[in-house]
Amino acid sequence: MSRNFAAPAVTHRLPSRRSSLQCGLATLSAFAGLPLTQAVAQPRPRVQPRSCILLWLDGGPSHLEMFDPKPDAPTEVRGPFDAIDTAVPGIRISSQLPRTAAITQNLAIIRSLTSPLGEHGLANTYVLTGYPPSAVLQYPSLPAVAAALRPRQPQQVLPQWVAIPDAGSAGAGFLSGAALPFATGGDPAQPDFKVRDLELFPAVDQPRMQRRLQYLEVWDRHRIRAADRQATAARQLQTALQMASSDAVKAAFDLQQESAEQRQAYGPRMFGQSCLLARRLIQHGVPFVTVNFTGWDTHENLVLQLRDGYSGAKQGVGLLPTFDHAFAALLTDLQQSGLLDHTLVVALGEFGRTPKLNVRGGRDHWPRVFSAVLAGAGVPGGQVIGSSDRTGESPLDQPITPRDLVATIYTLLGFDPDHVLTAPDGRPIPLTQQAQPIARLLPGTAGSVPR
Amino acid sequence: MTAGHTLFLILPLILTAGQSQAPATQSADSAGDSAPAEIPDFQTQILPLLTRSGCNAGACHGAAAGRGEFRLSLFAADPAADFQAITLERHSRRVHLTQPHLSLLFRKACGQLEHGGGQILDPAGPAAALLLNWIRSGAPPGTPRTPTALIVTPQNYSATTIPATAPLRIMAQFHDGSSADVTRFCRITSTDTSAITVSDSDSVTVLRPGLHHLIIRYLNQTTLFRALVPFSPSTVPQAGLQQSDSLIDRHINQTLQQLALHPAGPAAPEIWLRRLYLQLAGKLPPPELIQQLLASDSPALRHRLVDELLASEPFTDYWTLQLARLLQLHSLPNEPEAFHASSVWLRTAVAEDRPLDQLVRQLLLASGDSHTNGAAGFSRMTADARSHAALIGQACAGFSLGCANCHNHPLDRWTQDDFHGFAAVFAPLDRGRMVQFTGRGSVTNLRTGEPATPRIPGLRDLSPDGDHRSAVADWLTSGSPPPLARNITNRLWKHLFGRGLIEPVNDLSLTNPATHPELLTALAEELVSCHWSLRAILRRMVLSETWGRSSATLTGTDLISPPDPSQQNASALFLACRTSVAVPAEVLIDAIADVCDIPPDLSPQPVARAVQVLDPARPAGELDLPGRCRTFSGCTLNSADSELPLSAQLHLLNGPLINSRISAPASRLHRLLQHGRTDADIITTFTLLALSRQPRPAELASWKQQLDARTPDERRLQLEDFLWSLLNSQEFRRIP
Repeated sequence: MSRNFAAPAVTHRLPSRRSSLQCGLATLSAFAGLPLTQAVAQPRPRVQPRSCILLWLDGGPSHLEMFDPKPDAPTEVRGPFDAIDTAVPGIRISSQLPRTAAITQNLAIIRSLTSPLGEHGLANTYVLTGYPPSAVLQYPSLPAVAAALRPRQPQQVLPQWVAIPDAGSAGAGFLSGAALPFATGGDPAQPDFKVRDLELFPAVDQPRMQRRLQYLEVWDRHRIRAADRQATAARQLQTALQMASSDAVKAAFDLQQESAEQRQAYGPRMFGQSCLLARRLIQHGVPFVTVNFTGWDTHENLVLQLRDGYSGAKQGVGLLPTFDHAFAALLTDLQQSGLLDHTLVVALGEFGRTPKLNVRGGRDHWPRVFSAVLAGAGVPGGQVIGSSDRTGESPLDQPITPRDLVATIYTLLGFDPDHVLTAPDGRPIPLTQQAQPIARLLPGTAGSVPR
Repeated sequence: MTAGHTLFLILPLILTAGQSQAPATQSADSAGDSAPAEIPDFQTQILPLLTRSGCNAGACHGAAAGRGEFRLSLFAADPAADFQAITLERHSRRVHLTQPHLSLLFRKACGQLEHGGGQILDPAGPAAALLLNWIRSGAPPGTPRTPTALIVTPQNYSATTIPATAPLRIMAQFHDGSSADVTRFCRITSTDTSAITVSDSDSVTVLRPGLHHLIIRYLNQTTLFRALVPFSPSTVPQAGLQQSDSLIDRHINQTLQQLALHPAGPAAPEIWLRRLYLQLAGKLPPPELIQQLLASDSPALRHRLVDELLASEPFTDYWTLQLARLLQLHSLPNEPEAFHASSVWLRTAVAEDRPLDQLVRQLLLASGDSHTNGAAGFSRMTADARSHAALIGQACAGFSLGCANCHNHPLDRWTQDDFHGFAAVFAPLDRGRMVQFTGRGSVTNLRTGEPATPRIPGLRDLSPDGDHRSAVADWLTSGSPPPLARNITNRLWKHLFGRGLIEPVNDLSLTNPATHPELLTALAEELVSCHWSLRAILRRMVLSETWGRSSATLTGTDLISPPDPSQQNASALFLACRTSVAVPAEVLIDAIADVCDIPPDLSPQPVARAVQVLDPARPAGELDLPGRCRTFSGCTLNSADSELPLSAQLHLLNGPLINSRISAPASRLHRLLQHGRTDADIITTFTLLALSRQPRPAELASWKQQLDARTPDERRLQLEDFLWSLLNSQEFRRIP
């Protein structure tokens, strides 16, 4: 079924908001009638292992203020911001994301994610691991699985998974320490940003470090032959030593090596510079980078938190402009560096927010429908998958669970979602269960959906 | 509905009405029930057949939503529902009574129709014949019979050469007194298919030396088959296995003898002491004791050292931490008083060696203001009745009851009624600041949709009203051995030996064989007879020869042939030798602080040593980076190969934890330098402190070469680097 989407995009002359929405809905309902089972029966395409940047919008970003605006809904639902056209006719997103609007042809927007879990901890686990939280087992998150399964390159000294500045809720679950991320700590936007402990301790210069390593050798040399179990610990130490003494590693984390223009392009705030660092790390061969962007749990005052950033701001520096600036820059940068085809970029949070504004001018938790955005790695851009209803309360079409999304991401990265891990107690745990990758996100499903 | 349809629906009823009882005994002939004289029984033959074939596993039709719109209960937990699904659903097309070979059930299972599970049965085989026979007989429900016991012959099998094959025969006894050979109806799984397999014709083959298990399941019964094949034909030299009157050593050595595994000799005295201090008190042994032991080692001295350590404050600190983790103690937001009360209560209990059965009973039954009643606070560590039940089950009994939330536990004997019923005991508990039994509150049994009847898991129902927490305490602390004793003993064994007698320690289930089942039982009973004293049972364990073994296996020259990897694994598993484990993060921090003589910074936690940090919910200064255990669900005590995360490794190499301590003017190194001590002195002092031993002559010679400074400043820097390398060395980070 998905192959039929190769019909060329029909361009609509700039329609009025209302008519474009209606047209979109009409097109949508035409496709909605097609049997879904046929789509997922397609064999999964063979995919090269790809890198991934996961932009985690922690707290539950409001779908209504980002990628699923409802400008025609009643006042108490539509919120303080308007919707704007994007580079893809028929797709409209929040007016607070103009730069993202200009590159929407690269994006696949999912508007029908749905989950029953509205508490942060539970929802984080579900979205990041593809499994609802269980008392029995701690499931590993997507980046941990990718870090553990993806084979290391021969000369690779950089870690398999880097978290900027920390991993947040993404954990290794029952996987061993090898699946834990390397957390940079700190704030890449600070002028003195350095990754913790990659630099030598003050008063220790290179020659002194060399001597220290020599001394370490003395202890190892004289050790009684010990059980092989120690090999793991030795490897860990080796990796750390390699990282600490590698100029390449230090260079990968050194934002000073980027031009001033490049740094400005991403915007001056932490998220922007973290995205820049992420691009840098991908370029240096790190397979998985997560950026933890906190603050999206906007129970109060949407305007202040999402747009302004501080009261009385003339130019908005809140969450949305920061995201917009950085996200668009990241995708453009990846594209221009030739990295976009091999890098999957995902932006999402654990749930959406209540369609009806609350008494404090904010929105509360709402997992029943929310959005996510994917780009790169061959994902067909310029499309919207699924939709929510008139007020952004429930999925209207093609409800997609976090399981499905996680299965899709595994597939895009080159992993088989049915691959079985073994938990410490011997239980076989597939990467995902009862999940279907979203066919329209997989490479090979050509073209954008005209709306 | 056509007449034909109606007929299909009524036919099974007509036929079953005519058969008032199933034959009392089902004696299965050898393969092939061609003569329908014995009508196959649905519950005791057909359902087990489906179970054995994997039809009702969680991956297939046993899934919550079934598969292909055919849903069976997981592992035949609900025979009545399964009978319905098979004979009545889908207009009874699954069973075709007049032409059985047209039944959907048959055709799909034999791969004659498209079937997601592929071909399960051979259409010409005995299993398919049984199925057809049953359908041909009218697909009767039979008379329900519950098995009460499962007996496998042989149960303990040994052979001297591999591969070794033996036929299995499994008899089931039923509640009505009947018995039957159910060999071909059992689900038999191997714990390690590279070591032991079972054929379709139910004969077992052992492929490797060692001790291996098969888990045999039939309906609600589980039993184990043990196979033992020694590693080498020669017997173990007697000198290696002293006759010991230690309970532990007798059991361990007996298994080693049966397996023909060669035990390592005793660890060097200083290694023994290092292990003792790090495992019992989470700190390095004082150099003066090391020297005392090296000067005059004797059993009497060792006993004295153990007793002094058991009576010390550091022991109390360390075991308060271990119990706090087991019970998931953590602070609640804005209620520091509750945490304080609970941690003081726990520490007092550990300090006075309160019998563990009393401790658990107090925890379970406590009510009152958690800000002053420390025991009551432990009931607030989980948010609701189910989590509370799961925690008690896990911490006190080592049972993973939580798996039985949505279905009967697939691997153990716990049913949904067990789990929800156990949760119902804790439902009427108010977990606010005032912990009290309100008498109001229930949990819904997900199986029935009704309020769950309070229940002791696996044992009996309780009355719907009333406070049953003391019944739970009774259950945990009585029996032979009591569940609490077995669980505690196993966890302590893991702490001291690196691996529980049953692993994982949170899953003491029927399908999880112990390496030394009789030893576990005996030790648990020992704990009871020592009045549930933590110190007494730990003393027993550390004074055993097994605990004191060296971690080096015998080298190839001492054996007829060099050990292969599986033999090395077995040596470690069966404790022919010890295995070194990583020093846990909090112990490492304290050790670094002690060696350098600069205390750790644990703010805002108001404690002086990292092992005293009981609250995982709040930051703890320097403890936070090196892989600290911060999950509320607790880390298993001393996981054998806990790897430091990369960032922690880097922090130890380049961060201030070690670096600022070695160069600080107040540090031990600088004091020693100020007192004019020689290089050799300094090396010896620090080696004793950090590695719990004297430096070897070869090491001293190497250091003499390396430490070639010509000025005092250069000397200081070199010695700082020496100390840095010592604190980053492998040996420092291991418990030998």
